[in-house]
Parts: sequence; C-alpha cells; structure tokens
Amino acid sequence: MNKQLPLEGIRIADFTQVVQGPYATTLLGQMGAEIIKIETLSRTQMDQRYGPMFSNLNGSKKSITLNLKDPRGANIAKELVKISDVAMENFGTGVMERFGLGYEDLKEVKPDIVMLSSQALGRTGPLKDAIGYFAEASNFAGFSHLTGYTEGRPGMVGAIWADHLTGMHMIFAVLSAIRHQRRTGQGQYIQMSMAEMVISAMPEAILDYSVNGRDLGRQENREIAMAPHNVYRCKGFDKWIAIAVGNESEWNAFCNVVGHSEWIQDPRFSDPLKRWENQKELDTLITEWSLDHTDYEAMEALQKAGIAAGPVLDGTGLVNDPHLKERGVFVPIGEVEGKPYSQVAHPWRLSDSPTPYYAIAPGMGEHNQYVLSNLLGMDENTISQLENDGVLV
Amino acid sequence: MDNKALSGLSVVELGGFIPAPYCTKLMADLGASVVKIEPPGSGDPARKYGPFPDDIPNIEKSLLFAYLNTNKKSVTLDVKNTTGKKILMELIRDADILVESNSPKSMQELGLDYESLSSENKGLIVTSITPFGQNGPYRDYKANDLVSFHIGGIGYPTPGDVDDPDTNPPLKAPGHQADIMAGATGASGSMSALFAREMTGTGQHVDVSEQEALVRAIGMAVVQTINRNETPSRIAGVGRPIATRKPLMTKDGYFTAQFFMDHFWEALKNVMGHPEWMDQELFAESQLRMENLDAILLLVEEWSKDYTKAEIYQILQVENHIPCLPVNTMEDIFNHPHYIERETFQETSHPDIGKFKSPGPPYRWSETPWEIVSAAPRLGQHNKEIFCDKLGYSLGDLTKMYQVGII
Repeated sequence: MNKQLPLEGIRIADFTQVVQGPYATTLLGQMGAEIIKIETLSRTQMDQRYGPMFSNLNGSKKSITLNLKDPRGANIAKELVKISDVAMENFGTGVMERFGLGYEDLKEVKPDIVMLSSQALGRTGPLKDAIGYFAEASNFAGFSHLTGYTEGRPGMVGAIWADHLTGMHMIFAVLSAIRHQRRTGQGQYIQMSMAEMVISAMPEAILDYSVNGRDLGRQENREIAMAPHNVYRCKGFDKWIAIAVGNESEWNAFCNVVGHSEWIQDPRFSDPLKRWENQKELDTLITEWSLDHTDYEAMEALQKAGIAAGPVLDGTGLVNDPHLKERGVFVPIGEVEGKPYSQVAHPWRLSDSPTPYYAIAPGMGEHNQYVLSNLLGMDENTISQLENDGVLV
Repeated sequence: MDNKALSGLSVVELGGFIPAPYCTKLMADLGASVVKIEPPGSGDPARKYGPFPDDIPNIEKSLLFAYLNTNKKSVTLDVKNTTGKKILMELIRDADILVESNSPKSMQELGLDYESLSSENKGLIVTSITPFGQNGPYRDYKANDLVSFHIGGIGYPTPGDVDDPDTNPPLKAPGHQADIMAGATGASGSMSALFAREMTGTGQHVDVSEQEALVRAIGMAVVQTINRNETPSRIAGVGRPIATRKPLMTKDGYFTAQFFMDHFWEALKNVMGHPEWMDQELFAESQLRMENLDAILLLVEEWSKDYTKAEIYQILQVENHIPCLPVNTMEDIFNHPHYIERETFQETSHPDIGKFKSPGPPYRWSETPWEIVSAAPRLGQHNKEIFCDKLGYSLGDLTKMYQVGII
C-alpha cells in the first residue's frame, strides 16, 4: 500500500522567521505539507542560521532566497503564493504590506489564499508596531509577573515557551482554515498576537482577577488546593522529584511510602486544609525522605502507590529517560555541520499514517531552481538574469 | 453556526479537567459540534476547581470550567455501566472525532480501546491525550500539570540563572501550561488525521503524550544535549548557561529587552552612551552575547534601575526600536489602552455566574469568526436533546437511567 502523509498536496509559502512560525511550519512539513521557506540576505537575518537548533525549527522544508524589496522578488513571491494554499508570516506589523505582499495583495492573485500573520501584540491597537520576542510578549501578557519565586523578581518560563505555544495553535488554525477553504472555496486572513495567545492560555489567573479582583502573584510550584505539591531535592547534585498528592487516599498512600504513617493522624497534616496551611513544614519533612532517594527511585515508589510523581529532567535527563528512549523520541536523521543529527520526534503519533517526514534544514536557497523552474516554469535565461540582478539573495 | 471553519465537524469528549476539554474548546469555538460526556453526579473535575465568584464554591460556577467549555453540550453518562457504554457507542457512531484523556489501562478495561471504538465507526478519529502516551514503561503512570511540566523538561530551566540551586528549585509555569499545550497538540493532531481521512476514508488513533508535547517544545536545551553533548545549566556561572531572559529592574517595575542582533546592540550602545564594557570581545558577536547574556543583563540593569518602566519602554522600544516591553501585573493588563482597544478581554454571559470578562480569541478570523455562541453547559444540560431527540430514547428511559445513575 502506497500510503501518503496526511498533509501531502498542501503547499505553504512560509515567510516566517525566528521560532513560532518556523516551529509551526516544520511540524506541518513533517506531516507532509510542502513548506517553501522564503529567506533573504538582503535584510537583517532574524534567523540564527546555524547548528542543530536551526534544523530543529527548519527541517522538512525547502528554501528559496528572494530579495523582497526588489519588485521582481516580491512578484516571484506572489507567483509562489498563487500556487500555494497558505501564506504565513510573522514580520513586524506593516512589513508585508511594504513588500506589496499584504493580505489584500495576495488575495488579488489568489482569492482563496489562507493567510496567517502573527505579531507580538497584534496588528491593531496603540502598540501594534511594538516589536518583541517571547519574553516581551510574556511580560506584556502578565505571564512573567506570575512566574518565579514568591519574593523574587518576575521570571521567564524556560525554553521559548510562548513561541512554541503560539506555533502549536498556528497549526490548528491553519489546518482548520484549509478545511473550510476546501469545503467552501473561501480563503481568509487569520491574525494572531503572541501576547493574547499567552493570555488565553492562563485563564485561572485572568479570571480570578477579572471576577474577584485577586492578583495571584508569583506562583512557584503551587496549586490552589493541593499539598504536597512541589519539587523535592533528591540524592545527587541538583536532582529533584515533582510530587502532587491529590486526595485523601493518595495522601494516606504517600505517608506509607515515605515511612511516616503517623502523619495521617498528625494534627498539622490531618486534613487537606491543614496540609495546605502547613505546606512549608510538610515540604521540609518530605525533603528529609527524598534526599535519601534518587529521583527515579522516588518516582517508582510513589507511582507504585498510585501517586503522581516524576523527576525534574534537564537535557541529559531527557536524553537518558527510559520512557522517552522506548518511545523513540530522539530520531537520528542525518548530519548537521558534519556531525550526526537527531531530531526530537513529532509531538503526536498517528497509528495509520506513514512515519513523519524528517529531514535536516535546507541550505539557504537550496531550492531556488526547483521553485523557479519546476514550480513557476521560468527558463534558464530569466533565472540567470534574476541572479545577476541580485533578486535571488 | 453554518459558516464556521469547523462547521459540520462532530466531536465527542470523554475526559475531564484541562487537556481534553481545552482540545475540544479549540474546536467548539471554531464551530465544531462538541458533546461533552461527564460522570453523573460530580461531573468534570474542573467544575470543582476554582476560581469561583466571591470564592464560594458551586458546581455550576467554576470560572475555569466556564472558560474551557464554551460552545459545548453536556451529557452525563456512566461509561463503566453496560448501558452507558452502549450509549457511548451510539454517540460515536456518527462522530468524526473522539477526544479522550483516560489512562490507556482504564480504557482497555472498559472495552474502550481504539480497536473496539474503531469497530463501531471506521471513520472515527480517536485522539488520546495522556501524560505519557499509549505505550512505554510509564504508560499508566499518573501525572498532573506539575509533574508533566518537570518530567517534560521545561521546569528545569524555569526561571533559570539561580545562584543557590538548593534553595531555588526548578519551577513550573503559572496555570496549567503543560495541560494546555497537550490539548492544543491534540487539536492539531486531530486535524491532521482528518486530512488523512480525506485520502483513506478511515480514521486512526492519534497518540498525544503530554511529556513529549513539552520535550518537542524545549528547543535548544535538548537539541544541544542530544547532538552536541552540552546540557545547559540553570545555575548561574556553571557550564553552558540557559540564557534566560531574566526581567530587569527599573525604579517601579521590570522589563525585558533583546540585544543579540547587531543592530539592537548598536542601538543600545547609543542609548547608554557607549560605556567601555560594551566594546569587550566577550560581547562582540550575537552568538557571544547570547552565551554571555547573564553578564550583559547585570550591566544593563545598572543603567535601567534609574528609570521608570514607562521611560525604559519609551527609550528602547519607541525611540530606538529595540524589542522591549514592561512586565505587566493583572491590574496593568486589564487597564492597558492596547488591550482595551483590541477588546482582548471580552464580556461573557453565563446563566449561573452572570457577566464577567474573559480572555478573548487567541486568533482573529476574517471570514469564519471565533465566537462564543453559548456559555459552558450545566451538568447534563443536554441529556434530553442528545439521548431522546438525537438517539431516540424515550423520556421514560431517561428517568429510569437517571434513577439508577447511568446518566
């Protein structure tokens, strides 16, 4: 059986850069969509085009270099959009319009195009021109204010959270819009603001303020009602176990696992309210137990008793985690800069579709010939003229 | 409800709290028809989870539940009961997608594994969102947002750059970010399976592991470790730094700004009056600046602490086009002219809660609006509509099933 990947036949003109857009399009590429990344040397490069990190966000794509400031470059982009289903971009507000590639321009050449734009704060409002990355969007959303230690400064969630969160929602939005386009022939323009994306993903704090006027402040590892609910130091350097005890039967089981069945009767901890009130004291006592165990020993003992627990994993911890290993989460797919390169597996598994299409990032402009000649039907003379005129940089 | 992006898509949700409900909320808010199955009596656990208006708990007034379940219909059904299970099978017979978040073991024990569900409806897409996925040694382990966030690797670098690792533990993100990411991954995965079905005519099992949804989103740390054997450290001054974008102090609050690109760095030099330290080799290139970010931030803070956050925003972002925004508090975001003009917070009306402001759309659509058409349902609000009007049970059946606790 010659089975295809789910998104084969979908073509995306990808003007996105940095993290959020490239994250979305690399995953769409792995699902079989043809992603044509439009790059250039003619303006400042926001993409850090080297190393494994670039492949992590730009694998499974094709690359064309186009100087979009040159009307001929912009025109080639339009021709590409004409034969694409989707165009995506995350430049500052107004940049695509200056290239003559705004939604209205693209709709003219391809009436049913699905276009998605994502900016830090969106394309309207007094701060529409503000530029920012995940940190700035997280600040402006109030997310940084809720992150960190109680008495400390606001914090940043590790990795590049807001970008990846936005990227994952871009995929859902784009696929939903293509479904509509195929059913009705109607394209459309989808606009995102990374700050609003973050706001919509933190309803607990927003609604508590909106309805009760309460600002939760820095959240540490707390939960509104659960204790124990924290990370606890384990044997070894900077090793921790996360433990969440949800109800009375889990609490009783927990006391037995840590060898303190007397805590069940202890007036300081005998009901969930007291455990919540005295959680600092409780956390200290739990640490006395956890320090005698490795993070994995603690997880096994607690999980066996039906309690949610897991080690805090850093990069090495993830790579060595037996579960991730058995699930095949790190996939060797080729070489980057002369060294073997492994890809983190696609974040969802399909039982009946072929393995995702994994490939390292294309070289800059590696597919100029393919796009210009094969897709757009240009002849050699035209292409070398464009090359000589600096349009293909 | 006809001209929505997901009009005509029929979804059944079997799984509570956040991951599955967030997944189906994304679909429902774009026009999919979502039937939410809740356990009789107690309902979705999110109903017991705050915040509640005036801090008075009420199963019909959880603001979190109200947010996560807009545009859905609620039926109560005990799927552990034989009749309940039979009704579930009737519900999925003409559905496109079942989104569930139960442990693989319990689904198997209930006879609700993918094969059994699929034999009822070959076109059905079953999306399972679980902490660890459908196989592997942790398959049936328990996790919640805290555990998932940390075992998914994003807790370790949060907030990062700590001086004393013993007293500054790794942290989770605010709210339930791991659950939300898993739900969004389930929504995207479901859509991809829908496209596959267009070609093959058959549904399939979409396996979402919350841990993996996070591992894929880490980027640098895991990619560098697996490929270059360099694990970034969360401890200040130890090994390869995480390059956290730690917010910097001003007179009256905090902000972040980015200087790694050359033109931002040059602009910053001008703003700060070309101090000598900025010309050091250590900071000469963008990659070096990223590696030595912690040192740069300390030095920039020496400068920024004499200004207000509004002044810093004006100088860096407005006058010099350096990416820079202040850290807003909850009060700040509800009063900011930018969010007010964009109607970021939208008034929602709920029969039991009344009117309240809630986060608006995560995306804005020109042709097929994201829209709250109906408030989150009361527990079992649509039992009659779904069981009687749709599946053909009589009102007598409804009462009998209610009495014995099937619905």
